[in-house]
Amino acid sequence: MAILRVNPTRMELTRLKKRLKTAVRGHKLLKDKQDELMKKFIDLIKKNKELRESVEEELINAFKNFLIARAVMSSDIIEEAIMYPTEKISLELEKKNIMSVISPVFELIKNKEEKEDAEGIYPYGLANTSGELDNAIYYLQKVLDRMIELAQVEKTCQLMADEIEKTRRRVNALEHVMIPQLQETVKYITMKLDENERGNRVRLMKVKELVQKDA
Amino acid sequence: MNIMEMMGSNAGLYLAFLGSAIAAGLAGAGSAMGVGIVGMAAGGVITEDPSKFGRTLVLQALPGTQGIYGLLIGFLIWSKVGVFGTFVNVTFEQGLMLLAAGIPVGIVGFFSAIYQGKAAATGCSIVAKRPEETAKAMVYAAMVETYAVLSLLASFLMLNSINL
Amino acid sequence: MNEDNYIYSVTRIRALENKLLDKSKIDRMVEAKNPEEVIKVLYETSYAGSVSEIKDIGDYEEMLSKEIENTYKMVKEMAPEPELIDIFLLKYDIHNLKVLMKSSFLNEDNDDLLTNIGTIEPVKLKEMIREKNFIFLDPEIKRGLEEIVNSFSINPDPQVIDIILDRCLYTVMSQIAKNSNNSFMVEFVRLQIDLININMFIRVKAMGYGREFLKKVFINEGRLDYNFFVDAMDEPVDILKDKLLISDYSNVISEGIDNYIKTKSLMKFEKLSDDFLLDYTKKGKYVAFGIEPIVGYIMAKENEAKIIRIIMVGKINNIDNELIRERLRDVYV
Repeated sequence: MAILRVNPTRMELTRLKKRLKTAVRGHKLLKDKQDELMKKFIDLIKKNKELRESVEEELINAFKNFLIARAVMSSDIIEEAIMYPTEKISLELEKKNIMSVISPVFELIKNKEEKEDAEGIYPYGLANTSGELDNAIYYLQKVLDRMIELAQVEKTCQLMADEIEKTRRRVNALEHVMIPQLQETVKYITMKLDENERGNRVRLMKVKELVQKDA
Repeated sequence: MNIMEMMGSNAGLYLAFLGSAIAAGLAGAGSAMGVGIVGMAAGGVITEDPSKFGRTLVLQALPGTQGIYGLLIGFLIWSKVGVFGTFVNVTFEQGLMLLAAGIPVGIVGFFSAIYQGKAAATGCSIVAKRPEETAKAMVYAAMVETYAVLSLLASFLMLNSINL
Repeated sequence: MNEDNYIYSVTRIRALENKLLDKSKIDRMVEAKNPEEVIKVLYETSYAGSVSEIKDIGDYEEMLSKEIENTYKMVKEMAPEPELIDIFLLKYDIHNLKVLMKSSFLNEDNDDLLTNIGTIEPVKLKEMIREKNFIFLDPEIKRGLEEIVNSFSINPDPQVIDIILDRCLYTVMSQIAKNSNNSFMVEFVRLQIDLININMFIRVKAMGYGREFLKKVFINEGRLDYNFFVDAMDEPVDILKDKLLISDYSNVISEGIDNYIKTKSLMKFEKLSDDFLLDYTKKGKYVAFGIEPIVGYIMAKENEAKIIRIIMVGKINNIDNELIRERLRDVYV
């Protein structure tokens, strides 16, 4: 293990010891953070998987129906049927801080236009459209909220994974590089200082001997 | 007998001409209509498939025979009364008989030609859809011909029995 | 109308019927490995001309509408009563009107959705909509459009546009049929309306809307009247099976509704309805001269377009051959 290139002085030693203490404490804190993040991440991943599966299933349903509708109606007619949406939606974005991970929070805002008799979600007439289109629109409508939620969870997962990776790298760096290095250096300086001490003492003893002999 | 007096001694001859006019005229008119009907139908086929010209032409010719039968009886009447040589003296009764002889082929020819035309027009549809069945289409149309031939026979026999 | 006038057009139709797609060609298209192969099969048919203009596989939709347009143009030219052909063309006018009305309310331009097949040029329709001047249209349609303009200013609901125009369409269709005194056509329109009403009834129930909504979408010119359906509104869909047991529709209904209850999909019912109408027009094969063979030909041609569309959509999306076959309509020939 390489040691830091420092002057083996007592001042340096005190500085390094301080640094080591901070490093150890930082390591412990980061480790705790990593554990907590992992726990949260695993929960989130589970939720994500469930959501994704159910959303995918419903999307498959919707697309299957849409495909059939598409096959039995000409493209002009189908596009005409859905060209005028019954409601306009917009997305509001907020930020949430989970363990220093800035994750997005989406909120779906549906501004249904003012209507006395709510006609629902179907923007087309029934006489010249296929029943499959109803099903497709119904499924898509149902799945929209959850798709937004899925997007939110998935993005959070991604950001969290990044953060975990970053923390892990820091912990590792502290654990396997910084701390051993510091410890080695402290040991080296202590040894060097001790060596100096011993050298000094021997020198002193030698001088004392010489002085006694002369006297 | 006012009419008799009006027509004078040539009354028989007039009636004979009327008979031949009915035979040749009505049958000919019928044939013209029949051939026309088939022509329209054939036109429809040829618009889409010119290679069927031969087959449709045969069908179109079928209702044309009534006109020939009519003309034949007309000729026989004319030769009896001597149109091509010197006029024979025809009595009123003989004239009536000649008139009657002309009627069957005229009337039957007229109607049979039209209906044969329609049958042949339908035949054109068969030619259009199933060219290999053209023969059957012709048989259906030709069935109508039977009655034209029978009427020709009737007219002919009646005509034969008249001796001037 | 004297049937003699039909002699030319009917024999011409007979010749054209030979050029319709037959079962073996359709089978080959279904068996094709990819959309390109389907196009190759079409090259051997009467579609060769229009297919050769396809540059991209996605263009098949334009090819089909071009083909339909040409068919109507030709039929209208040779039909002795061209106004009867309008019964088929009206739906394209109505489609254009829907597009134009919606576009005008949205302040968008959607000209690529317009079709040239209808009786009135889309450019003229656009002009009328822009100026809100409908006097050149059929009085029924004019009234419908004015109703839309009025109701939209109070309550902008796009569905109202479709509902009102659909009703106009079928009202005008049955008016034309009745004016022609052609019992075949009158019956044809009424059968269509009945089947649509049954279809809408089932869908309204599935959407969970009540009598009010059914009344709005209901088309009055059919054989089955509104009261017939209102009585069945609170019962399960099955009841239609009993109620229509002795009608012409019993086959369509019992099979279609059984399938609907099982799968919650009206696909089978819609397919059977199409087949039923096609069957009705197949009478045209046995009528020597009259409008019937012409109607039969039009239906066959529209059906062909549907078949090609289903096959193409299926092939482009890699759908199983068996599923495609299930969805295909009967063939006219």
